[in-house]
Amino acid sequence: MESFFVFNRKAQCLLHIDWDEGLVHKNIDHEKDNIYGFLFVIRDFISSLAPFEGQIARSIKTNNFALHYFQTLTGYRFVCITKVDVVDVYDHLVTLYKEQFVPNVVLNPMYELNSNLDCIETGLFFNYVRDEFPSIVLGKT
Amino acid sequence: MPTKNAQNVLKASEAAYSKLPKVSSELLTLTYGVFIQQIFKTTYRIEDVNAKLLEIGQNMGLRIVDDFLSHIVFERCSSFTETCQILVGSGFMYFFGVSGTILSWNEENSQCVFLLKHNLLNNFVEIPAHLEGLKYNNMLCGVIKGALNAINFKVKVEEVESTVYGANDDVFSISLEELLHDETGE
Repeated sequence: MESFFVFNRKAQCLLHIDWDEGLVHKNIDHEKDNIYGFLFVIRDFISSLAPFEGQIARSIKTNNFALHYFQTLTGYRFVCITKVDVVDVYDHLVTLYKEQFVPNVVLNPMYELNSNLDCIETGLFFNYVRDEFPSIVLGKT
Repeated sequence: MPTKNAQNVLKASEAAYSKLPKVSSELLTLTYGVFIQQIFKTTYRIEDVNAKLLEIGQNMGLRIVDDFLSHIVFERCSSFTETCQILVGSGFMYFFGVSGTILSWNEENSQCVFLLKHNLLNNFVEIPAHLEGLKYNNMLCGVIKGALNAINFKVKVEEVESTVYGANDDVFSISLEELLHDETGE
């Protein structure tokens, strides 16, 4: 498990976690914009190419890494970058949204919507993603 | 006529509602009334109270739509009419325990009028004469507006008739103003 991002529908990156300490980002803001833009374009591309509606990209692989992606109807985008051999992270992202993100972030009155998720108010969600999510995803593959 | 998708979602939301923890309706009614009184203490003009209720409702709607979408799984809606059927029927059922009924649509299918029977926010309420003009259900209007805004519909929601002013039932209208798109950033 290398990185994790959460974006909202206003193209803002709400959360970014890196587990790989050796990973060096040349320009992290630019990288976040690139990831968001890439997902935006891929969504458009697939909807124009697909034979029927409702098709989504769940993961995109290169020879070095895999990008796993889940987007909600409300525009929240959960992006997980892992090594190539990791599969089926989509269902874990859906479960993360339902069981952690909605109750601990969205329905949390202390959290201001569209603000950074790396704060005390959303500590439960942040700690869960940083500490438990990788073992849940990797433990089952 | 509700679509098959809307009917399935209504069943799912009834099932989900039956499992949720509940509070007594009188507690909700009285708390809401006191809440509005409290807003009057901060701002004395009726127009400002109406605007504040709408704003509070919008903030609520932006959040609870995710709660609804994460618990009720359903197919993508094919049109604004289907979205409204699901919101009015199942959305209200999931949070309120009562389902609304859509009465009519305009020709372009961009405006609907719906009825909410047994709106428990209005129980025991009488509006004094000097506060006529207060939109008592404006928070509900704000919730619908915020929820639809979160899924990229810009709408105007208004109270058409209200039981606090002597009507038989609460009637609201939803008008689609614009379709929004996710922002692409700078």
